[in-house]
Amino acid sequence: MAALIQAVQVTRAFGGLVAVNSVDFSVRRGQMKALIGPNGAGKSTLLNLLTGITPVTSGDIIIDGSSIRGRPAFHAATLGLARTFQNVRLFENMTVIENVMVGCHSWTRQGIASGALRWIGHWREERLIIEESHRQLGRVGLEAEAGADAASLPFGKQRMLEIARALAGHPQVLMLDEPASGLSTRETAELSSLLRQIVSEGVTVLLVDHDMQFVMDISDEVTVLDQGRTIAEGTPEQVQSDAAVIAAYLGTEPN
Amino acid sequence: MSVAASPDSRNVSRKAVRRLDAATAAPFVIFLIVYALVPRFAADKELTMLIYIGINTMLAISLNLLMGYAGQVSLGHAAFFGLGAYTSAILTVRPIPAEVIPGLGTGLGVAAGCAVFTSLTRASGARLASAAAAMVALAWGSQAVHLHPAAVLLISAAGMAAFAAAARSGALMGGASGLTAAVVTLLCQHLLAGVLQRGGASPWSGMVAGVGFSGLVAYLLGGQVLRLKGHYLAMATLGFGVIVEIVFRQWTAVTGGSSDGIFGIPVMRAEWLGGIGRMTGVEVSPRVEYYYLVWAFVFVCLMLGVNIVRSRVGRAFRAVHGSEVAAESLGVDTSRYKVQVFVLSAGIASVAGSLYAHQAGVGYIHPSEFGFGVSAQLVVMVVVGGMASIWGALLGATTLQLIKTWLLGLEKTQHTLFGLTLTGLEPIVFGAVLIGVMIVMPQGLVRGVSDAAAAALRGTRRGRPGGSG
Repeated sequence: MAALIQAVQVTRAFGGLVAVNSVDFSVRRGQMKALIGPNGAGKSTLLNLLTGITPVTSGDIIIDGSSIRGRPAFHAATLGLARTFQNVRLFENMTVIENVMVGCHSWTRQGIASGALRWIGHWREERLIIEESHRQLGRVGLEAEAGADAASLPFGKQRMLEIARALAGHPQVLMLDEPASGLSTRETAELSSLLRQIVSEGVTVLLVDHDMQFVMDISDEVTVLDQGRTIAEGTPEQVQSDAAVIAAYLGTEPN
Repeated sequence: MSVAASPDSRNVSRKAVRRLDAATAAPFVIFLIVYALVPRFAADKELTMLIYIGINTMLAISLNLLMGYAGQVSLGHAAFFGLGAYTSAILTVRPIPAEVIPGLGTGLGVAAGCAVFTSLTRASGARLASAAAAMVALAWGSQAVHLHPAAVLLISAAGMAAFAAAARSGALMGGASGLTAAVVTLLCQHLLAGVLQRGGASPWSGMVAGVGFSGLVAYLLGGQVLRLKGHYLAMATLGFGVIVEIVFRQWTAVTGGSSDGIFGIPVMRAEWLGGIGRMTGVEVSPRVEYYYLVWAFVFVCLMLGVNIVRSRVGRAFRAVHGSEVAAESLGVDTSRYKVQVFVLSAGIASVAGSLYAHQAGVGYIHPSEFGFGVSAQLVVMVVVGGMASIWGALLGATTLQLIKTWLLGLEKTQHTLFGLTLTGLEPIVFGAVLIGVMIVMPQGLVRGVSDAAAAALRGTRRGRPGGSG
């Protein structure tokens, strides 16, 4: 089966530090894939490379058949890629529903003149945007907070809002950077069931986390990164019993 | 993935859209009534002040779109105000010498051709430069040999198509942009020769030319400086503002320099707007007519502003402010929208500039009216009214104009206070107002007052007067 996302021999160096070192990585369509590794393994850097926020030093990234190398960051979104951020990046100057409405940007077309003069196309599209935004808010349980300022939400709800915003773009792939960090046990369980539902709807999910338990419960396939290199790949069971993974997480056994 | 929304939620959203628009329309109705009736109760002195408030409101709206909504600080916004004022003043005052017309026509034609070329092929850098060079050569060459206009069009289109084919960028698109360049060149030459040579253009066409010129400058400048962020962007725009003012002061042959300025600028007329005054039973003097003209523009700007910020593109502007990285991750082309809001903002400022230059009973502009001090005042207006508030722009401009008038009166009647000579108080007081507003209501007057009112209302409802809820 063809990979939806493919990283080919990707390297990224920051000055002398090689954060990601010739990594081959791919995500298949319809999969729930996880990328794990200890702190500083290069997970977030790899995610930023895959979404085009950080340019690659060498190698190539191919999303749904087309390379994003040298393209501006927004280009990946137009290929059907959506993401959330490790330290939640909401538009704090906007309301909850407006945040999700921005998420609809990639499949809407009306330009500035249409909005300024309220042409018929504006109304038609605005209605679709509002419907879609309410639908996404309903799915993550934020319908009641639609009119509130995004910044006023508690942290767990901010994470959910970020996911709703990403999903409003009808992505093929949803990438989540440490979605479970800072969440309570109950919120993590809610997140798991939401992610399962998203995958069942046909969206591919890529999860970056270091919370082993959360990741192992829900992923189909896991890739383990350590010091910028892939050290293991396979089903959660295979990875959990892999000697290199145990060594990376716990350190090698004394004597 | 896209599940159809239930009829129920569709109904809800339809209602929500309508309700929102009804709520935003209400202030405009009040605005129109006040607008029509004001000259019944205002003397010439107040009308003059209102004209200034109107022009400043437009400037504050334009800066608020850029700074309050899209988060791009500009400390040189008076430059676009000045470009608008000077462009339309120069065009209306002086007949354009015949020898510059071919060059001007070619320039505008090539600019239009390049705009079409970039929008069709997204070309930039060397490819765009060589396309522009090809267009200049074709436009100039075909003019030099006095061909029939139709032949010029054909040659230009064919030449560009050949060029584009050679550069592998789509012959059809190259041809289209070449054709546009040729058409605009010919049009400009005919229009310019016909209109401008007979002792200056009309103020209205001067205004249009001003918007075009300011927009072009903003487009070229914005593409470069909007990559900068925060303080660096502020510095760059500050520098731009200073440079433009120096050009106004030093390029005496064109701008009249700093000793003369430009005299004898014709008044922009709009008799049909004066009709509103006649309906309300006012004698329509030139000043009354100009009041109606300026505030008609203010109305349009308020409406466009309010509409834009609640539209797809407006949300993209605000998303750029909120987080550029997040906006990009959702498919928002942030650099494009930054340039777009910059050009829009420059265009509105330019219209305000033309209105300023063509005022009834003034007919005079000077470089000092478009310097850094004005840019700084605009920032104060935006902050006082409220960042990211279109109506706040009106409130900010009004407040500052009232303070300014009061200070002028104070300086005239009371020459000293505690032994201190009262002159040049304006910057001091404006600075103090800025600091005060930042401390007491950082969201600006509109948000600050409405929040306080809401809090008071909640308090009385719960039987706790002044409760902060």
